[in-house]
Amino acid sequence: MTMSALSTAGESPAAGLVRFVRNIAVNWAGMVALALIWEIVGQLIRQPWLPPLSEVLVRMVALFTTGGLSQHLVASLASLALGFLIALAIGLAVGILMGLFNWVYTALDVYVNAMLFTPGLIFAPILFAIFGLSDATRVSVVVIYAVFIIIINTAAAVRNVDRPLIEMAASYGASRTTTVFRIVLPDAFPLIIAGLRMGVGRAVKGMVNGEMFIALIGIGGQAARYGKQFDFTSVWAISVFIMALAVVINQLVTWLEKRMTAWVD
Amino acid sequence: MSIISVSNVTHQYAVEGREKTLALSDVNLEIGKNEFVTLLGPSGCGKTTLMRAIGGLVTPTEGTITVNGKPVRGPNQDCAIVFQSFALMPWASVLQNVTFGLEMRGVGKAEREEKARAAIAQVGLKGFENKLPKELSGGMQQRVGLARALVVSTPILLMDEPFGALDQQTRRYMQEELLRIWQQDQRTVVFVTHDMEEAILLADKVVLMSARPGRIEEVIDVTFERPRDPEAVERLPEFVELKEHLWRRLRQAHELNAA
Amino acid sequence: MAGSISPAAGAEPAISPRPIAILDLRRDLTAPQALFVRILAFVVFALAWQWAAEAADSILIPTFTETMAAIYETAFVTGEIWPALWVSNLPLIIGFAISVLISVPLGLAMARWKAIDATMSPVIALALALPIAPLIPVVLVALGMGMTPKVVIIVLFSWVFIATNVRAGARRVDKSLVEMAQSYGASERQVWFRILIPGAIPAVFAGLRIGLGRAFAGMVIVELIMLPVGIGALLLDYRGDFKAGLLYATTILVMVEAVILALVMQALERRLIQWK
Repeated sequence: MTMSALSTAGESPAAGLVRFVRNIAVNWAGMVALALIWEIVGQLIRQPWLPPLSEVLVRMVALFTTGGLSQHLVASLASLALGFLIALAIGLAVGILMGLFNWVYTALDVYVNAMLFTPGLIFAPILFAIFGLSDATRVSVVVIYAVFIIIINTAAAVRNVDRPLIEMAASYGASRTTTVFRIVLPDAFPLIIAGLRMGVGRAVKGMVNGEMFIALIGIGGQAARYGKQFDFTSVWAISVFIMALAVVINQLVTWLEKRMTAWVD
Repeated sequence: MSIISVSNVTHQYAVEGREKTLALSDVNLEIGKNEFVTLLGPSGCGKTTLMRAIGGLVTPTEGTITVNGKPVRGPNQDCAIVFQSFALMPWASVLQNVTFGLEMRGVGKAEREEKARAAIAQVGLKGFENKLPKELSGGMQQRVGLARALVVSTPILLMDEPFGALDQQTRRYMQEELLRIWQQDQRTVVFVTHDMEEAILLADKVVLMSARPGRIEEVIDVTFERPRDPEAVERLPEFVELKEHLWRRLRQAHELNAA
Repeated sequence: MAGSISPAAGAEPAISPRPIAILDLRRDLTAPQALFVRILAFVVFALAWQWAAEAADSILIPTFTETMAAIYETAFVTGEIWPALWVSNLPLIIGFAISVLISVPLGLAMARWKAIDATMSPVIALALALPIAPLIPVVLVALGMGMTPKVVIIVLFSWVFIATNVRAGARRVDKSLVEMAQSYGASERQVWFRILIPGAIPAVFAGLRIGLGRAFAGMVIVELIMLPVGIGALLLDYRGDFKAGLLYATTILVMVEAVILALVMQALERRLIQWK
């Protein structure tokens, strides 16, 4: 393995451990430093658009205890979950078909890629025109955001299954159907799960952006509302919360992913 | 009566953008029951293609191959293959991997597990039944591949450079194991290798092949007594002579090609 | 012999059933075949759309033919789309350019000097995690209406992706090349210009491609959530006026622009990594 131009060469395991611990400490220190800077700058400049961190955090708590934000959070998570499940179902189905049948892959991959290049929110006006103010609009935005990355990853995972494994199965008498269920799908599983993880990330973005567009329901919707009311402390509070939520969800999904692919080398 | 009969087999294939390659050109070969035959030659000589054709993974563009009296038209139940890359299912345990072939043949769970455990013991992996492939060394993984091939009790065993991915010591150990196992229950083996010593050590017959186009140069009988001790056999003068003879033949073929 | 796995003496060999076909997942189509299935897919889609729209019979759901006519209308007849595209894309161009000018040197610096990398690391982590969309109104109040906040938002959307890709690319440059250059007496400046930068170019371009995609997304999000002036204004007007055909047409044309930008970047990237 070529050594990168900027990593240290030939260090002992003990030195590596020290470096690892130091990195974590530096990261945490960096975070703390950033937080301090935010607090100080916020106090100093006293502008409405950059409240100090302490006020933001206090407001975050307040929004949940008295501001009724919990209901909106539930609504957000509900549409996130539903949207992701729909994207999962469609994505897996289309992706597996594309992976197994080359003509399906060739027919569709240009269009799937075109959709991947396109920012999902551009479809929000159309979806809004179709579904109006119902939940379906937000759910469909989440679906649009997530489904294409799932399709493309699933298709690639299935297509790239180790050919010797397929030959081995055939040589021992497996029919094509058996090969698909016993060899292809299990072998593609880790990459499919990785695609699902990316899909969750995209789904969260779709949830936030879609809600901001509708500006009514959900935590994104509340952020938009507070924005229009020039209540920026609340806007920052919700943004920080969304950030924390996204990080937590990502960690959760990554943990699940690792557990489900324990057998990978 | 040969158990494997290769008649006038020619195989051409085209890779995108390049000219057609003649992997095999008019190959004829007879292999008798329970013979241990090695296919030896440099890369490009078609030895792997020939083995895969016998196993039904490849259909030659011309010619016929008959295995156990029947023409080969696809993967069949008379051959079990050991793959160079091991081809183990990484999500399955050693036991699950070894029972795979039996499962495909409809053997019941209890019976196939019993047979699998016997095979696993036979290749010296007793106690590792529940391990995952990633927990095993290369040599151990290949032994799982071998157990899987042995347990389906096919009359023919096809081995595609099975020890090629292993280091020298492990390779020597695996050769000894293979000799020992084959001694215990003999069946027809077609063993592909580019390693001259390995080819002579293991075989009853060495099929020397050369490249461009892939063809059989010579078929040589190997008459060293069995059971064979690798250290002893390799020091025999006849062994050294045989090796030199094969070298010379190969070099001749190479020079003829270059001309 | 119980438990033996050798073929029993004298047993009949197994009869082979019909041959097993081997699953071939990558049998490629020829170019004409590929073109055919893609066009076929499009035709199927257009027909399904037409049928569904006619069945729905809603003023809000235009048929395929209505939409195609609307595309023609807005592009060639009224020409409404072009000034809107220009208004929307201008901040994209400026913002992306600024983003590149900031992020590429930043990424290279982070790759070369550990101190900068360590300092920037929490900022990068924050920038990757913090959603920009909810903060758009904050930027607007801080910077007023007009071009500046839009440019700033587009920079915010894209800079971190360019920087991280550039950094990753520079880190991947083979250390032995640097050592080789130094052993022949190359100065720091020469190491940079002859080894590190050329070696990092593929990753830099990947970063630019991704960054442009992000900047474009930022442009769309700003238009739709806060400041509809160009494309965003058209879309919201058409929806409000129930001009469904034009609504769909404009959306499709934006999608076309996204695809064109992506393809251009990919082609450039491929041209530049010819040597790899």
